[in-house]
Amino acid sequence: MAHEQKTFLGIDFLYSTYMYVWVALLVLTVVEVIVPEPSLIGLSAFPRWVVVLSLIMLALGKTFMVAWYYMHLIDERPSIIGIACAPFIFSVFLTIGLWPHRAQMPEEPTSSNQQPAAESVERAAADGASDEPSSAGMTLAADSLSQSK
Amino acid sequence: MAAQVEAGAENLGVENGKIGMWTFLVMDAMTFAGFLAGYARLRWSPGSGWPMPYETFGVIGIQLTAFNTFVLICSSVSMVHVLAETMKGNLKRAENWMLATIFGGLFFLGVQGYEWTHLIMDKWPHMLSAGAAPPAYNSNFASTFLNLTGFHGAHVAVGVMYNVIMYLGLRRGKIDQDNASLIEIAGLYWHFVDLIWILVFTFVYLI
Amino acid sequence: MSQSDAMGFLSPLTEKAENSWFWYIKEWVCSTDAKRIGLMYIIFGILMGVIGGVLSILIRIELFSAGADIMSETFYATLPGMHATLMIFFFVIPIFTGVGNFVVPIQIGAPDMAFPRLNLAGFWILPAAAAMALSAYLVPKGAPGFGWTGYPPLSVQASLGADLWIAAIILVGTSSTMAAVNFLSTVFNMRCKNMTLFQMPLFTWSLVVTSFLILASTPVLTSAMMMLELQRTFPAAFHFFDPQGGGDPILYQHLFWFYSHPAVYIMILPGFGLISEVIPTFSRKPIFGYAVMAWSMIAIAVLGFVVWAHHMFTTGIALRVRMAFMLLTMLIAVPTGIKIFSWLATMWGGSLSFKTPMLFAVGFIAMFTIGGLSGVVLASVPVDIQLHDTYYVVAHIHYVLVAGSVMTIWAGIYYWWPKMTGRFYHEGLGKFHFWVTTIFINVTFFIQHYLGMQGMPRRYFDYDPQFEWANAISSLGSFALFSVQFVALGNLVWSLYAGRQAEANAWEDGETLEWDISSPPPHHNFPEPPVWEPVDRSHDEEEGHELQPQPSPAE
Repeated sequence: MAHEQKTFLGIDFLYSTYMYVWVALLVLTVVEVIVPEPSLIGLSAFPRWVVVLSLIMLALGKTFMVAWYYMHLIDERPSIIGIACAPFIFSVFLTIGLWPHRAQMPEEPTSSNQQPAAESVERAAADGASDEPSSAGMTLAADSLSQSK
Repeated sequence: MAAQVEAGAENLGVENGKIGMWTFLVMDAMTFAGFLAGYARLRWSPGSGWPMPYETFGVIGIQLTAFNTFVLICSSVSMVHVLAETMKGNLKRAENWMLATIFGGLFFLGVQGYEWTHLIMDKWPHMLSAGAAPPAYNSNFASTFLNLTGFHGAHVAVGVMYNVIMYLGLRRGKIDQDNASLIEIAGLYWHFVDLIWILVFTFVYLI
Repeated sequence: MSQSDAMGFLSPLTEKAENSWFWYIKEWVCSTDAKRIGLMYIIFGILMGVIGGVLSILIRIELFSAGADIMSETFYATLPGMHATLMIFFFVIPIFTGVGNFVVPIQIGAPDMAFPRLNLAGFWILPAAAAMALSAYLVPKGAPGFGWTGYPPLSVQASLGADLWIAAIILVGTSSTMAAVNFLSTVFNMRCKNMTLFQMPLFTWSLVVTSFLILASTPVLTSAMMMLELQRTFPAAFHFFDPQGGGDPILYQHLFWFYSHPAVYIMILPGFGLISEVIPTFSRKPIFGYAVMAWSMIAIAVLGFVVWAHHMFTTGIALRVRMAFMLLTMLIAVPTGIKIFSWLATMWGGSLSFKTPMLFAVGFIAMFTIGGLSGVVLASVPVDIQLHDTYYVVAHIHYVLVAGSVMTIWAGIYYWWPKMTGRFYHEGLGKFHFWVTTIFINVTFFIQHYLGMQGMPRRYFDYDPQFEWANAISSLGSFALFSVQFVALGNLVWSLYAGRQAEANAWEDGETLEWDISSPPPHHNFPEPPVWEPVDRSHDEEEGHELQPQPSPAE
């Protein structure tokens, strides 16, 4: 079949590449191990945000290399690349949506006081929230977790 | 999943089996996304008191797992060799590379089993109800660790079985140059397991 | 031979099956033919729908008057959850999968699904899962009494029945992802010549979009269920949802609704696609705004992923987050509105023929609009805080799922019944079924809006006596609604024996490929690979006002 022939060519092309990819993956793994504990090579500790950010970037880079070269996305139709990207986008959104917020941040009451007109909906919501315990059918969680005004 | 049904006149230019595997991987990735997003929420909740992984696993533990990562990456590379040799028709060499891949998966599982035993027996005896949890210790560290690495380990185990089936197929001559796409599809799954491990290793052991 | 030709795919394949019922049924049970699997899905779904309906009737009998009537509180507590589980996971989703299995391969001109054996395996997981869910009633302490949402901490403390329920949910998720993988591979890779993506019939489009929704959302539910089960099984080790161990019960709700809000679209988008087939056929006009219809389905799916927290407005998430989710939720009304106006524009100036499927389609448009509007009401944060967990929500979901999913299911079954069996049902009985269903859906559920506004909470065993008259009306309506469904089932069974024979293009104006082949279709759908004659999907002025039907691709 014609389309299979194309994959064959792609593999031949990759044959020389993926040993380099292998080396790159190993080097990045070593870097990953060193980043959170730089004392292994005699450096002092990095700031926390540098560690987190660089580890995420390193992991994403390695992931990309595996998907791009070993899973042959380099040789694939755009539609397959689209399918492969979909879970990445959804999981980033899921993580953002689940990210814990800090419930006790002091800024919320102030913002609704400063802009009464624009925030009227917000005020209504907040009023509703404070009425909650009296209205029927509210969940237990609402009682215990609703914002205290 | 032999591609027994032919593609239609309008198609994506790949076998049915490959689209099937890719869509399956979408689903599998979202399962891990659920676990990882839950892990992120539990860990970064205000005041969660999450222990630093380095302090629990120790430098030696991290390096053991880093070596394990190295083994898994190597078995991923050998899987690519299986495909390349099958396509060239060197079935004997493909078999040997496949044996190396299977061995890599088994080695990974063995090291992980050792690590689990060590961690549960020595560090988290409360998980076996053999003692109270240490005070002010966030036991979700252990829960999410076991959950993520365990679910990934199950995937490695399935992948090893999948590879054994492919190995037998190669040995008995059922897989050759003409249907090398079967190896490619198995490879997709195996590389995906490797890819997930890269993420799990980073998020659970290092950050 | 001629007799087996007339029976199409229903005819036995082997000599043995021709002579014995046992082998004929065994042939069905092991069949990898998508059409047979589709029919098995539909039969299974209807069976589960009847059981789920019985549970809902038990609820309505109990709520007929205030106070304890016929059952204990603990038994009542299991009913809403089991009713929802059966209806959602074992009735609506499988039936749409079944109709899709039957119709989609034919509509795109393929001989079968891409993975026939995976298809069969996916189907047979379902009866096992249903048996697990229902057997929860047989174990000590009975079925789980925490509703279909299974929120911790209640679901962590529940008895053995909860384990069976969780396992059933994971199995159902596996089954529907298997079907989704199959649909996507089939539609992406097995279309006939000239059937490009934007030539596909809209029902096929709807199943593509639905399959993507299933693929990306169901696994998240599976992960939540696994975490729940781990916490139940090893309470000393796992504390994902237990605040005392550092866990977070809200985490479960996030993961659950990340699936269960898209699940609403999984349950309604195939219905949208189905209506987009029925209305052009009976209006004798091509669908208005084909490309917009396809894109609006995609838009609904994408938006459907980013609105889940509107189910959690009362859980104390930040106001800022709630505002964002409120706006996104309200945005969904836009693509939905586009679809509703496109259906109306398709009918506008058409030469309408009000057969039963068309009646169900039009009734669906009218009543789904009510359900959609009460959804917009619930989307606004301040209103939702008042109405959360009241009967207003019950009324809303039933307008969306009964007047939405169930009516489209009936439209689809009536529409494709001549194609599936080669026989017409009784038209008069079909129309009777439609009118009684429509009237009693409104009798049953409209009054529940009022109950909710007055503050009657959902899932409660008992209520204030002031609500008694309204509950009595709702209960009476539900009895009539449930019993008239048996008229329809009887009608379908009757048609197998005495129905009028259907020709290939049973409704005379069907334009998609399934109307080109005999009714019922032969074993491999098409004698030779079909070629689709491209339809001009652009809607310029002349065509938009054309009253004549476009020539069907068959001619």
